[in-house]
Amino acid sequence: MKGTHHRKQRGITTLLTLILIGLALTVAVMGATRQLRSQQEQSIALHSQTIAQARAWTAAEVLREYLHQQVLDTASWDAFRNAIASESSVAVDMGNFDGVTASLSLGPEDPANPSYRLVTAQIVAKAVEDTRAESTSTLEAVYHLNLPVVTGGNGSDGEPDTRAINFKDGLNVGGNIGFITLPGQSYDINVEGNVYIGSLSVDGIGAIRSTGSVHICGGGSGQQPISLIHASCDVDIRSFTVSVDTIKATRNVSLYNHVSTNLLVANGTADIVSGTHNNIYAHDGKSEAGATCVETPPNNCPGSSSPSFTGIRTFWGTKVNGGLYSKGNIDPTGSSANSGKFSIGTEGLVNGQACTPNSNYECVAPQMEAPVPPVTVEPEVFDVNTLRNMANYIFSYDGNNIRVKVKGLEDIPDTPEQGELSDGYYLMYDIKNVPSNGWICKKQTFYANNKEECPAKITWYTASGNQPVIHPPATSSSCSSSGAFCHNWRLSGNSPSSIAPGIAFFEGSLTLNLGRFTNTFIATGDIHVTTGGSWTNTVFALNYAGPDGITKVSGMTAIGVCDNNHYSTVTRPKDFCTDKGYNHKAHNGIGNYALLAGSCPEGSQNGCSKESYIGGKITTEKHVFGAIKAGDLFEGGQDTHIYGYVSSLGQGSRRTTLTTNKMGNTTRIYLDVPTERQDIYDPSGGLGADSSPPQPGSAVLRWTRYL
Amino acid sequence: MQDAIDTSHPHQRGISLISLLIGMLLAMLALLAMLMLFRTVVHNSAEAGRDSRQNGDRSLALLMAHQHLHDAGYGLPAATFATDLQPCNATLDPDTGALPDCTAAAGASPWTVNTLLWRFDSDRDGTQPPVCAGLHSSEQGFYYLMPVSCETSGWPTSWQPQWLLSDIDGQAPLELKVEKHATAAGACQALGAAGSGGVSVTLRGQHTGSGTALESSTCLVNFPPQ
Repeated sequence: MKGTHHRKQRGITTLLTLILIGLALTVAVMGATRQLRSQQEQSIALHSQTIAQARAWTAAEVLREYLHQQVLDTASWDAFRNAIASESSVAVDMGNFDGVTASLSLGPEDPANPSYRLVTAQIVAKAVEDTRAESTSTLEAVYHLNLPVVTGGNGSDGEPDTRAINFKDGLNVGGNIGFITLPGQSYDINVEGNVYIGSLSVDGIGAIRSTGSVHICGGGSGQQPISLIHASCDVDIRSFTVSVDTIKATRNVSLYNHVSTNLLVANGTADIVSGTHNNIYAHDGKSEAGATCVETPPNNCPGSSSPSFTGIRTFWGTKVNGGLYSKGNIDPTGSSANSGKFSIGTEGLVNGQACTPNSNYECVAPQMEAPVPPVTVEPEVFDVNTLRNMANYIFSYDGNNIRVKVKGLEDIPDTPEQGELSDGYYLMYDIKNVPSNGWICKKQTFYANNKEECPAKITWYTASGNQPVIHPPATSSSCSSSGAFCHNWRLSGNSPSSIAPGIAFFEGSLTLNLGRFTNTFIATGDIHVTTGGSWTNTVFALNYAGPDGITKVSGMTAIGVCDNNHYSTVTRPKDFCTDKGYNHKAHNGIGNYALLAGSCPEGSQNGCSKESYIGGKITTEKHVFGAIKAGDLFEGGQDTHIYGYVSSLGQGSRRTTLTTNKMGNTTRIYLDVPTERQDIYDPSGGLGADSSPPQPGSAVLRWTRYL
Repeated sequence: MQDAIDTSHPHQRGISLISLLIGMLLAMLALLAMLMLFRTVVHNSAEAGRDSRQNGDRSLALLMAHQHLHDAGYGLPAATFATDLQPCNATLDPDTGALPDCTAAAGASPWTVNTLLWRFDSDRDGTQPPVCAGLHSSEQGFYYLMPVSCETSGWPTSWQPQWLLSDIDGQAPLELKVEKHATAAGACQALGAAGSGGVSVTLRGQHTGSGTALESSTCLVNFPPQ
């Protein structure tokens, strides 16, 4: 028994030992396995996170390429902007890009820099989805979109179908302004800002568009109706006999006396006194768009007041052909059907009661037109430095000498080819009573009879006084006597042409004080055509003057660009005066312009900020025969007559409540071209698609961060 | 039959005692060897596991540091090196967060420093003061200096350090190598895929155990080439 008992104990001990060893090994193996698995998961997670990040960054670049495609031209940009602007965030279909989702949101327009927009993308990239090692990387990428740039006007050889007078920073005409066109011609007036016109005498207006309000307080038009008045606030027209096909306003419309319409849509109210109208729609602020203004509206026309009603009010012999439709009330007192009955459709009341048909109107369900969208104005970049290479003469001043670079003259080599010139410039000694007055010379000299040293005379002075024509900008210490023009170039010449015909580029601001000019003037600063001297002192654009000159235009005479009795043939601008005749398309129609002003600091690409924009204000107090383009503001004095289109682009920062585009009383803009110039002069200017092709936009990855 | 039985019994008893002793000795030796082998295996396994964990932690710290680094310059209209991104050397008091007198790195690019400070603007509107953040590496650890409000110039001297990597384990501290790219042609791209960055930052350390180099680079695309 004893022996048997011992054998059993040894068996149990062995069994227990094996079990303990087995348990220890099992625990050790499981522990090691768990640790290994943990390490593997950490390693895989790191790896998958890297994959997720790589996908997110790759998607960021793909989106940049996509956005780049959206700003290659204005059509693409418009379509993209309209698609994305209506919602705060738009999901992007990333196609076969596995594991990546993205959404885009468009940032607001920066008034200081309208040439770019920001787009924010949120990119979510996942790796090894639906496993324990799934990783997600969320990247926020902000893209800087440089918008496509369109330049104004059309090339002179293009069809002038989209002629437009463009004003940015508002338009304020205190008195009467008149636009004179040939029969059948039409043009648009586009204004970024408010339009306030005391009295408008027009014919041939295609459309008036304003990002603010349109207030026209008197005047009348000819036979041609205005096709469209579209305002991003109010339309207030009083005592202006005109027929308008369509009026649209994002807030209220007030028409008083003699205005007739075919279609009128107001997001707010419509207040109508007289005239004949087809259909009038007033959303009364109850649509999704509301009834809003971006700009603070200008003063009402005299006699106008803010509406004290809702919906539509028609007074005093208003004729209605179609119907009155409103989301507010309707007060049709004084209106009658032009024939039969007109319709009333309202969600509110009619004269304080539910609509009841009578002999004048019938009641129908309100069927509203879509709310009026705001007016948008394409950004336009204008920097005269891009025209520098077109200039026949570039004038600069180093504090001692007037320096001139010449280019494109018939018998004078372009300045860069003149190795012997000091610093690459001709020097000009426009000094009273010295023989070299008005000559450009290779070195300082008072003897102009040496044609080698002084190849050409480029200013024409009075026979009586040999007065200098070109006065350089004065230094600050000698400014007191020269008044406001002290720091400007000042041209005080003599008829019939004060400097040689051609494109004259001035580095700085320019005052045309006295003289008559056959030139296209370009200034990096401002240009001021003053009231000095005879009223016949004026500026003729090259194409208006033509090759042989033009006479008896309002009693004024311009010398010819190519043939005249005042300047040597060596100074003929050879791009215009060719063997085949006068080339009005030279430099893509720049000869249509009389005045061009405003620039960005040197080295700027694709425009600059408002704060850094230089000059760009053009002020005229005389007659100007040619188109005008001001980079910032335009101001016309009383009795200013301009024989071409005027554009001001508001790129500077000088706009204030009082400082806007202005025109004095009886300003006249003549868009009718005399018969003898219709083949070579385009009043809408050039510098369109031909001269500076539309610049495509671009998309740049501006900022990124992980979320 | 009885003779046969008598012959077998004495032989079995003698052999049983000696064999038991020898068997026990051999068993003990075998058990000892196995235990030593087991100890070695477990020890090595533990060491490798610790190294692997530390390497993983280190990689994770670098990953986190890179994600924070991408905030640098975000939302600033004109993010500028040295003004909005400052490589420098300083001593951090981890308890108080004091980081006085961060000495700007001298000499030409690239710079190897222990501190990198940056500025960014989360809401991008410029109406609120920007935010400053940073990275700092020392023998005490690798720290993310959490965002604090700051001015548009100069750097805070008081921070809220957050450990990204606390266990240096006798290894040399991580280094921050900052390289500036002056031209667009030399610009870097984030993960080689997107952007055009003017600054790249490389975090350098060593793998625990093997001591092999551990490097990871980030391209800061919020800083254009300058």
